[in-house]
Amino acid sequence: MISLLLVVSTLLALQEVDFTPDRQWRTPNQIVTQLEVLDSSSESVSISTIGFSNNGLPIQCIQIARIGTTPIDDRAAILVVAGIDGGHILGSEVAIDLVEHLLAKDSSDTIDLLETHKLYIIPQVNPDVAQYYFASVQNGERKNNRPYDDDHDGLLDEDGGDDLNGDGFITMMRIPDLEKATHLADPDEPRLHIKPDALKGQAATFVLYTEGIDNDNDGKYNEDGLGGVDLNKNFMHGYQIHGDGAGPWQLSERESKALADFVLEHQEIAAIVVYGQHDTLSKPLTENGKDKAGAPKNLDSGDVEIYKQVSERFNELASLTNTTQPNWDGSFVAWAYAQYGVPAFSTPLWSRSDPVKEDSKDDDSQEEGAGSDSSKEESPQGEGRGRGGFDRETIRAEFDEDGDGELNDDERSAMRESMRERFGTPGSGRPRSGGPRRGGSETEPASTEQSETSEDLTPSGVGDISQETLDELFQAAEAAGYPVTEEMMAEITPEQVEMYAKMSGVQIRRVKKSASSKGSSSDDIAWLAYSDDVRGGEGFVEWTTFEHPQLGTVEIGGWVPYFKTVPPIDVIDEITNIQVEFLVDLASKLPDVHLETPIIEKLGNNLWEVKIAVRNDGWFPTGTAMAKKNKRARPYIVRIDVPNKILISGRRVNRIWSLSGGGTRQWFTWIVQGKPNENVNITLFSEKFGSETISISLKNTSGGGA
Amino acid sequence: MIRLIATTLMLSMVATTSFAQAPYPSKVDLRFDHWYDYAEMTQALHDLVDAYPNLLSMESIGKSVGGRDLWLVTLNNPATGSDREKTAMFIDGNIHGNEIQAAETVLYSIWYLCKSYGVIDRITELVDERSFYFVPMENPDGREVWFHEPATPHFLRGGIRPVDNDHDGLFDEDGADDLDGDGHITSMWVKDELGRYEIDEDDPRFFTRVGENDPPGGWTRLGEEGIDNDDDGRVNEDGIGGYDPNRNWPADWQPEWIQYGATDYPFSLPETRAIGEFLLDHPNVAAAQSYHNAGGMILQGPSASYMSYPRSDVRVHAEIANKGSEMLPFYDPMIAYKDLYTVHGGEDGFTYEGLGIVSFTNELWTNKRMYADGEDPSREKRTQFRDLLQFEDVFIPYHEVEHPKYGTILVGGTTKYSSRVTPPWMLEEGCHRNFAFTMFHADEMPLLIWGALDVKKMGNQLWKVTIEVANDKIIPSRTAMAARHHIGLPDIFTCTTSGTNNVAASGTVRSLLPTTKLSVIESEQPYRIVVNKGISGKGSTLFQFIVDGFGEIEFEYKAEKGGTLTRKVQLKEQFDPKPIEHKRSIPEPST
Repeated sequence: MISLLLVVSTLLALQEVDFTPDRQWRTPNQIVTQLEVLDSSSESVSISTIGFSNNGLPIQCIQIARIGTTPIDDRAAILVVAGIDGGHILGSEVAIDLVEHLLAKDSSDTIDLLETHKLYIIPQVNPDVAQYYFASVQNGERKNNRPYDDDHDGLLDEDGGDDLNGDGFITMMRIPDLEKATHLADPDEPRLHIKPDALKGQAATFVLYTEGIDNDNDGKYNEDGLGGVDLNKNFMHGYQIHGDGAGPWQLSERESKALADFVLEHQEIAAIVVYGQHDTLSKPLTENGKDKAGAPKNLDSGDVEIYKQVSERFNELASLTNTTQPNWDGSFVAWAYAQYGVPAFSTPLWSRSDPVKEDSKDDDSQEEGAGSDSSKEESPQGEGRGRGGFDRETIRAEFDEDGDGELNDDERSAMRESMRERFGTPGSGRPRSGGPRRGGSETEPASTEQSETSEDLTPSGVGDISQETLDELFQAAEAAGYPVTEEMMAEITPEQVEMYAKMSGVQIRRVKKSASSKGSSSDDIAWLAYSDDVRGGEGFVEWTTFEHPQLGTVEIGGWVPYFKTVPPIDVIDEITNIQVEFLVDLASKLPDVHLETPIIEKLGNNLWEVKIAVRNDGWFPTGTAMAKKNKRARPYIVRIDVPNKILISGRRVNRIWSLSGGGTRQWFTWIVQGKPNENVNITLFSEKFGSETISISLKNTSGGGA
Repeated sequence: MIRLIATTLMLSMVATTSFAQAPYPSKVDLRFDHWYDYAEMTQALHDLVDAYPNLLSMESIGKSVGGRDLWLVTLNNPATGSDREKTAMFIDGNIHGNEIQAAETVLYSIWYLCKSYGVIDRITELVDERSFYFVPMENPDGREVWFHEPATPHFLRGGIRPVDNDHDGLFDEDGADDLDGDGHITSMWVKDELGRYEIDEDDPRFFTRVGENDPPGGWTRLGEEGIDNDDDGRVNEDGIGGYDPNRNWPADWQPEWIQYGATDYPFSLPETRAIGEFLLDHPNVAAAQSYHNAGGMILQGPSASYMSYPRSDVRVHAEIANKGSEMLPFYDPMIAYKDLYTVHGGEDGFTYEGLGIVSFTNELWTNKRMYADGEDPSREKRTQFRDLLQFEDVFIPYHEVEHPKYGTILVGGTTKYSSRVTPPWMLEEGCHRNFAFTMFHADEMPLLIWGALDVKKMGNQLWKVTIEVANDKIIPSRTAMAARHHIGLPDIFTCTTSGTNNVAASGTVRSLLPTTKLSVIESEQPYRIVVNKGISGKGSTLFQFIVDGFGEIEFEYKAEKGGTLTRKVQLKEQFDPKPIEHKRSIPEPST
């Protein structure tokens, strides 16, 4: 009855909110208001505040649950987190809309999610940075406003971008300074730029800075803007100390600490879905070796299959083909998986669709995934097929183990793995132009690691030479007593590096070059086509000349901030529907663990054998392989409540770190002393999934045992 | 300027107290053959602050899990500048609750500095030039448990936040129990026909292991005193706490399954977080010492094999630690991961790798101090020490106790005052030697001075001003670690011009020889040089400014960890050599 009313009322609410033709993206303050509306809209919804942002905006959590057989407080939960990547306002919008969409569904469809379990939604973790989207001038910044000296000159945030042409965007400037020039316009697509290819007789014609003036008059442009810390680099797994945007230490920020504390205090959270820049769903994560301390960088081998299958299910619902997969080091989702110890997924929710490739979409996307490992932002295809002298067909044949002419999933992943080794996985982060070279080595070179693939190397900005190599050279020079300075290293040329490396015996390790020096990235070309064909050109500011007060005549133009992450607002409903289906499906897969009927056998006078099976009827194991390893996700406990002294065999307290799904059983056997018909309790307890107690009496069970 | 005031003060102090005789009295009578529990330590600190209000101040920088104050004492002479203006040393102790003499060593340091200020010239100079931050008890809860609950030499190391150590859903439900009520947790032994221990033939006070091929000895050790409180078949498997505050620091923090005691995240504990925030807020700290026990070590990182430290910093640490090993008989300089064990998330790792501070961890007390030969004493020699010098005071003879599970057992063994804790009558010397070592360390913090000044006329109203910034101490104004990772602020050298002149170019030069060319530091702001590497230890840098015009310019060299120098220079041909000074050098005969 109540739920029926709710459905009606939420349907009304839906009409008010979703079908309003001029829907706008909600500001952080409007999100707060919207949550108040939701809070009072339904008994199944309750809102709590889990912390505050640096600017004092609330970080809120929505709980959705219907009355069911299990008290709400005793249920396992799925957690949805959005907004942690400050520019990802789409995630927040979808996360909020989940509430109404879920409540509008036939309640029989959401029994698993809302009556057996419950859903937590934290729609906006990073309101301060989300606010930048709504600023009068957008610059796409992802870092918060903790003051930070990006250019290490002893001044904080003194030179950010400036909207010189007054179009509301911080874009790029092309400065025709032949002395400093690094790029030229791509002859095939003059809006994009490439690095010169000497073999083609190309020469650089301009240098690129972000749009702005040199506020601090130090000769560098916009090298030290506001902030700060990128919350999604501020978590423990893979944390890069002193890394760009990583913050002074793990969970140094109010927002990240509030989120981690919430999750740690809610051990009932059994699965996590993040809406943000990382994509672990359309392209499943795989194993990727171990970090310097021995933790799996990505997945533990035992969890690869789970992620693969969840991805398959996700891809049945959604078709996200052009997503990027940035390095997840320091991200919330990485921590949730690797240290908190639950299945944790992340999806950007949206990516552009490429109408031209529609007919061969599947193949193309897979192949591009292989060639550039899906991180197209920085690993462009360049001249398309066969870059680096590799013929695509030959490669396919090489990995087509069963010779059926097609690549199945295993073969594809083997190919991807191999391609990654050959071409490298580029690092994360948005490309920076105009700013200074990032001087510090953000990743401590692991001296003990022998086989370092290029994906571990940090680009230095000195040709394709890695920052790690520069650091080694620096150390070697220091060790040799050569008075080397950071300033000298900043000025070094690739030729000098090669000379010094030869002198000092340092082995040069190069960041694998993408095709960017040959041609524009196919991803950029596709984004431009998408902007032109689908979005009426709104994604790109055409280059126009501008009289710069310090630089003379320059051109201003380039990508519109947020264009690649914020879709047209009318796609929200479709995306939300997909996410609702995915969550409903995820809830049905959660572990479902019960005690089976025990088997009791009399062994002798007042001596009994008690056997009981614990069975997981869910799809997920009770603990991931990683959780079993890290022991931070607490185990199921199976306890026989008898005094220890009458227990002849078996332990009173037993722990199950991981029990596979699909009806898998784990047996426990005890031998106890006791009078016939004496009552004994057996308890199954889990911090995530609640408890269950079976009372038995000591007598032979019918049909049980011999 | 600071030095001028300091010298004046020093002279006046020396004049008034020059008849005092060592040992100099303190306004607060503290004994260093005594263990101070949390309340006594707190009182002693208050007493010192009350007695020396000009030098000391005290604040609680946070509360422990158990609600106890984390006391931080600042020692500074405000007459020579604020504590933040000066290069500071951070000295802490007792992050492991059971490592108690660490706190007394810190207390001794404050006490000795205060009573010696104005009396012993070297101390007066040191205090006038530097500031000090002391946290004697970083883990007051653990200390309190060690003093006032049944304890062992190793307990309570961590804090009192409950942890489900045995993963049974219950927290801290089965710790050790003081079965005989003597205030100590010792060992339980039971008669067992198959036991591999026997009563020692030579010394029947002890058990000894039987040889591998010998028949059973009849006794089995059951572990520490206690019962199976939760009746799960295991004894003492989930006692108080279950984490290590010294694995809770951010720099190389690793999760629990890689590093025991790490907890869920770095600075998850109120104690470490408060100290971390304090240090982040005090970039003037250039040196840090953490006192622990035991083993006689001057420990330094790296604490994990994959960590690499810049060589120049390794040399700085080695030079200080090697001197320390001479000041501290039977203490050895050690690199944690190589010479001891791997530690992820330790405090000295955070202060050095995270904050660029030259850091050591001293492990107080070593059995080598039992006898003058410096050998690691055998079991017999250790027993002899306990018998003859400690009068069997730290050993509880085995006696019968009824145990609910094991029946009649024996309880006894060495007490919490054994093995790790310095014998009280040896404490003061240990405090003093370690204190003296930290003062050596503090004295070797960067102290920048102006070196040579050379002004040459290059042409009409064009001047070449070369000025040396020197550091006679071992520690550079920026450690190589700080420079490499851009930790904190770089040193900044500014030349303030007036309306009559202007800096045309600037940079560094190798020498004053006329052939030396200026290495221009590319900047659109030649009046402001960013010196990321700072001034090296026992070294100097020659900066050169080409100045257009006439009149006066003003230099300011500002280093977060080296203080601020200012100097006005007239644009006229001049040369000042670097002052050669040793405060106690034999004076030139006056003419």
